[in-house]
Amino acid sequence: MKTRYPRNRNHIFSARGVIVFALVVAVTLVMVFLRFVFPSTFSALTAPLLHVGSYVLAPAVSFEDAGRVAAERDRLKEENQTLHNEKEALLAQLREGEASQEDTRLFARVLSRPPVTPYDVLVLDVGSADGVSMGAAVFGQGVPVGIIAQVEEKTSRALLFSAAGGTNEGAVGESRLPITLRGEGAGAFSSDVPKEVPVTVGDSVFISPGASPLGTVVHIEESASAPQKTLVIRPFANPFMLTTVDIAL
Amino acid sequence: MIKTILIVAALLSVFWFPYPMTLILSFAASFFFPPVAFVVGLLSDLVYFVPGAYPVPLGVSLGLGLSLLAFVMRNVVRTRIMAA
Repeated sequence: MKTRYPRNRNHIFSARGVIVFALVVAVTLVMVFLRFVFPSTFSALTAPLLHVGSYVLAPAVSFEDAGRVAAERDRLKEENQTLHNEKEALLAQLREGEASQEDTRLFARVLSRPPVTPYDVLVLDVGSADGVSMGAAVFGQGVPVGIIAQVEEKTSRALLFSAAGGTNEGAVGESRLPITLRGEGAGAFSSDVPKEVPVTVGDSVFISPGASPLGTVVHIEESASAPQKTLVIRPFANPFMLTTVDIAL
Repeated sequence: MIKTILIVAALLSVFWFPYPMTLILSFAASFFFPPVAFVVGLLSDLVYFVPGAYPVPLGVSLGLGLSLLAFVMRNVVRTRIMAA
């Protein structure tokens, strides 16, 4: 029996293939066009999906009593950490005489956070219509976590300080020794300091804006041959768990 | 049916699931329709990427790579089936 082969073996350039390819190109161009020419429209189209996602990924409340108690415990732990951070921030302000300074903050819900976002970026449910502006400081659990990097009418995106490749000026310890914080991604920081700088594990790390401590030094890496040592810094605010933030107006 | 479900799941995973799951779903969907990974990666960057977040847009780069890889693997498998 003679083997039959399809008449058109070249599936790439078949009529169906060309139509499908043209469709894909058209969809791609439409998405890019909307995003850059009508960003508010693009955000309006994607916001409902992000809202659903934020509810889908919210901590699930179990019907079991033990689950409910565990969820309440986790909430209280988070609240305790927030209160601790706020206490540290207030103490820092008192020491620097900035207790009288007040800034207006806007409450915002986080629609999407790492690891849903592949970058250290938070998508927030407030935008220019609510008074958000580019470069505004973003606070999570009472500590500075990033700045507003993109604003649309109803949504905005906050770039976290821990974004990979990013650097920010900060300070470490009670004496506020200046250091350069290097973002490592996934909420982590590091910093290279000369070996003779008196830094120990547990020292607080600060970043402007504000006098609130950003995190603490959890590990110091040094080798005998290198003139510098590397501080591994863990922030107080875990970007994987942020559900709400405050934006300084 | 499976093909449609995979493609839709890959597109929706950009908004709902962690990005490793998005990578897996888009790669799996690319075996049926290679451009899916690129479109998913592009959508991910259009929704989440801001200047300064990363040196290069990861979504587009990885999506293009996965699409090409899936396309090559798909053609290799097809050729072997035809030759068998």
